[in-house]
Amino acid sequence: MTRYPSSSVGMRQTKILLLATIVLLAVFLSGCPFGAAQVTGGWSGTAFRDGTIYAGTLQGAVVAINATTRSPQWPDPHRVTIPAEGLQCGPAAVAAPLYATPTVVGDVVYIGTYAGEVLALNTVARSQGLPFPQRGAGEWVEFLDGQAGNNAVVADLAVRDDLLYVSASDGRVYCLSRAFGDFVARSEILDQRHRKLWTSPVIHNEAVYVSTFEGHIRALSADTLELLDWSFEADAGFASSPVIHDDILYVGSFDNRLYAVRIGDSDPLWTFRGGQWFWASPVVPVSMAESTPSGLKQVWNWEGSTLEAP
Amino acid sequence: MSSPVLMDDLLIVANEQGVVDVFDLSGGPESLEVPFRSITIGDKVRSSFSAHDGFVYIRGEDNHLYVVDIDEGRVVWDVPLDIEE
Repeated sequence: MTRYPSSSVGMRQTKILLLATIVLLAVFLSGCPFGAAQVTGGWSGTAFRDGTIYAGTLQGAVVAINATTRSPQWPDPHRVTIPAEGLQCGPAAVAAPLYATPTVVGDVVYIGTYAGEVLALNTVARSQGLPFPQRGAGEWVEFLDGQAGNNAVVADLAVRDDLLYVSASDGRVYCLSRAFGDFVARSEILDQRHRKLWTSPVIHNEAVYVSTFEGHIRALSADTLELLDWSFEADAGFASSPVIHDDILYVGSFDNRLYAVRIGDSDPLWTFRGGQWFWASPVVPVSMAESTPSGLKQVWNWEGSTLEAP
Repeated sequence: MSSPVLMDDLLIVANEQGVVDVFDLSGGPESLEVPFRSITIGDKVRSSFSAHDGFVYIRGEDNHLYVVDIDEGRVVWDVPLDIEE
């Protein structure tokens, strides 16, 4: 065992202290990466409309790309930011990646953001690179909780006539006017345990249906967002948004099952057991669904490797 | 998280291995067992995607947009979605 004289130990500690100080100084003088941390993730998808591809990006922008010329159509996309976390010696705000997929209605693109806002972007105004928002062109931005970063929107929006429906991370569904972003209604907290909604609302026959991490399908009035009498409870939670065809609701669950539930019933018409959790929403090929009285039973495994039919 | 997409009689699925599988639903249940096209793109896929007129528009996890031509069975172009400032 090596023995050091006490003066040597003291010198060694002083050197370590000096080295640590230099490293810390270098970190702070180089822009303080603790405060400038980028929010990671973001799984925004694409929407195609009239020859243009719309997508949300990791840098918090909605981009529009001409499918023929392959060129960006919006010269200076509006970027969504949230307040930086950690030591506040870096930038005050960082890019907020987009998780929702843009929804295009006419010449306006709507999207909810991880900063907790809903954006309405006019395709003409964005193509001209005008400052955002151009309120005369139907553009607006509304925070669901008053300030950035408090109520992230992860799910896609739903549209009904002149209204937008938004699931938010406070566990509520919000209804806003498409024209100005005015708040029309707000539901109660629909997932008391997790207090977040990351699945998209679905509109059907004047009602809004939404699945929850708790494992419920909730039905709300599309006018008031008040809870309706019917709900459905599964054995596990839902990360999959439902789809509805002919009053039958299809939704995948964390219990590895795809459920087919007739709206109004407490028991499912059928369930199909897959090999994994269901994260994604199913699709219903109409011709096949109409050929079976109890609804579609063709099931796609979420991993995308096999197609199974019970 | 990536949901299947229907384009006419075609069922399109993209997976975390970065493979886009295309099934022809018009051929009956047997045609669902094996995709008639399997196209590999540049990165894994977790996002929802869109399809129109024989083309599939997919955002990969590398933040690139990939455009897949189903007839040709390949990625015909791709572009980064974020331009560094």
